[in-house]
Amino acid sequence: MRLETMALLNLGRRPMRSSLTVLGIAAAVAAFVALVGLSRGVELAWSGSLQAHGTHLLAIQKGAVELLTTSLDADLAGAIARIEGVESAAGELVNVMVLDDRFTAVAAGWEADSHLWGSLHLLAGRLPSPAEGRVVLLGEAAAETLRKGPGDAMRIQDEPAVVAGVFRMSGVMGNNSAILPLEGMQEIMGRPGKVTGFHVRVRNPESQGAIAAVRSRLQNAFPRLSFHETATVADDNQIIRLFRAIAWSVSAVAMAIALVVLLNTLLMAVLERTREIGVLSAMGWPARRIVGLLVLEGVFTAAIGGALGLILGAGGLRFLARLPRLQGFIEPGVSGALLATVALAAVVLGVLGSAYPAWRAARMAPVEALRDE
Amino acid sequence: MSTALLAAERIGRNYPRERCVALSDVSLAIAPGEYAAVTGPSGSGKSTLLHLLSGLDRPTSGRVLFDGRQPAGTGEWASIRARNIGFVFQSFHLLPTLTARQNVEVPMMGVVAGVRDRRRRAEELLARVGLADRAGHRPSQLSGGEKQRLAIARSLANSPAVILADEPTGNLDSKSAAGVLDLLEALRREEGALLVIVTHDPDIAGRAERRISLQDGRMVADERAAGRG
Ligand SMILES: Nc1ncnc2c1ncn2[C@@H]1O[C@H](COP(=O)(O)OP(=O)(O)O)[C@@H](O)[C@H]1O
Ligand SMILES: [Mg+2]
Repeated sequence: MRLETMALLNLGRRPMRSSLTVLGIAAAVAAFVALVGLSRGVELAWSGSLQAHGTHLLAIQKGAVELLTTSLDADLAGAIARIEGVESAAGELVNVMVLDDRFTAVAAGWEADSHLWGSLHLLAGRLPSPAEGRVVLLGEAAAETLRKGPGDAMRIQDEPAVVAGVFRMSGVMGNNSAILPLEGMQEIMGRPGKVTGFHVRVRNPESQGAIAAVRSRLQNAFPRLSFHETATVADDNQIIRLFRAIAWSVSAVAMAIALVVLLNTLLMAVLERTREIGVLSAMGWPARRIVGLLVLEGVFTAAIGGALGLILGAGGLRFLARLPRLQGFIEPGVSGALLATVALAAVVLGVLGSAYPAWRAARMAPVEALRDE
Repeated sequence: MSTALLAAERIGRNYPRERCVALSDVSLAIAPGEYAAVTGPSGSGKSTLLHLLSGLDRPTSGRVLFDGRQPAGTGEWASIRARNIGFVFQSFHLLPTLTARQNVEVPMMGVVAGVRDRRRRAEELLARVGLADRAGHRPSQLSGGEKQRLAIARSLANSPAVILADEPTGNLDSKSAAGVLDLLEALRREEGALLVIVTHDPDIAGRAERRISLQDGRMVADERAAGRG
């Protein structure tokens, strides 16, 4: 028999209590995986879509809390493109819109000569010609959800439009989005001549420091705009930062509750097993092996709860990412980093939850426990 | 004195809060392989003496020597108990979640390194106490006599030089009591172990080579007799 076997047998003796403790830990871990995964998923969906567009720097209005409310003159694109090291700048008017009264998606308006069109892989239909206003290109996933193809009529908010084509792009956000000519988008939003931001491409982006250099040059030239590198755009965004902070603090509270549950369970187990602990001491078990046995019980409980919570959390995340209102805003999936964090959290939880009970057990006077009377 | 394996030098144990003197001024030297019985009425300090002799409890005065030296602390006493002292209790004190075989393995953990070796040794010991066919049973599935035989097998796990038995037949009917006592005596002879048995049964005490009597925490007699043991 190994120490691990003994720890598992001890957990098995109170199956109901052990299962409830495991469930409590699983609930906390599931909340952690779902919330942090959700927040990560939103960041990934967004930065993934920028990457798919080949964007190196995103320019938005300085001080704007929310990306979608910024309002800039579309004409600035030319001035941005003239800065040294900039290959091209494309204005974009973005909003979250309801398509056909049932599907919430990111809709973007692009200028006819924009480099952005190049990031679409057309699956069916055609790109809009410059004169057309009320035509729309649908991402593959959006087209599938809406059951629309080239030539079909549809509604964007309350305005009618015709589907010109269907495209594919890497990342969930792109594939769930709708693209319109800029003029059409400005008309629907009632913001003529305006854009929400500019996608900037840099010359020789691979060379060391090129993007950062162009960024500081742009920042000097346009003090009223703020420029963000694609990799850190999510970090720079206040709403995403807030969402992340909420996800982590709610998870921390859930974990703290799980810790108390585990602590309570193990302390009860120690107090009702004083006699057995006295027997182990009489058999010559050193305090450290008694501590080891209890810590193992804690770590096993937390590990089982953690694994169960991971499955529940990942399932919940997948479910959330598929909801019609959220589809396309979240890149689903549990990253390796999140998995490692959960594994580490479970071990830390197990050790912390058993440390005090184990210490109590190691400190107990064996003779008191062994009295025969 | 120099040949003693277990020695007590004027040991006492009191509980100041309860104003109770459990044991006072007991000196004792027991040689390797010796068979001693400790007798005395209930509350006379018999269990206290066994606990002090094995480091499970500490004397409030005097000192206990194992193999001629005073163990340094809790850790050293634990290691001495693991390798050199086997315990048998009146109420068995078996671990209820473990099978008979696993119970015998408990003292070997940390002493016998291999999992297989522990298992083999446990099976061998169960056979020696006549419980080979009970290896997979839990304590609750065993009779009183079987439980105590299992406890004896466990006490021998690491071939200790010392066996301490605290009223080992106290919870048994006379028939199983006789069987358990015969087994204990036979095994200690085979192993050449020192055996201290606490009892208030004069017949049992009569079988030992040496009789130590306690009364109100004091040693009132220490006699050697031609016992059968
Ligand atoms: N933890 C304790 N607190 C107070 N008194 C104790 C404690 N343990 C034992 N005693 C007292 O010490 C005396 C000897 O006890 P014990 O060694 O168990 O006697 P025996 O085994 O001979 O029946 C008794 O009077 C008992 O009440
Ligand atoms: Mg007693």
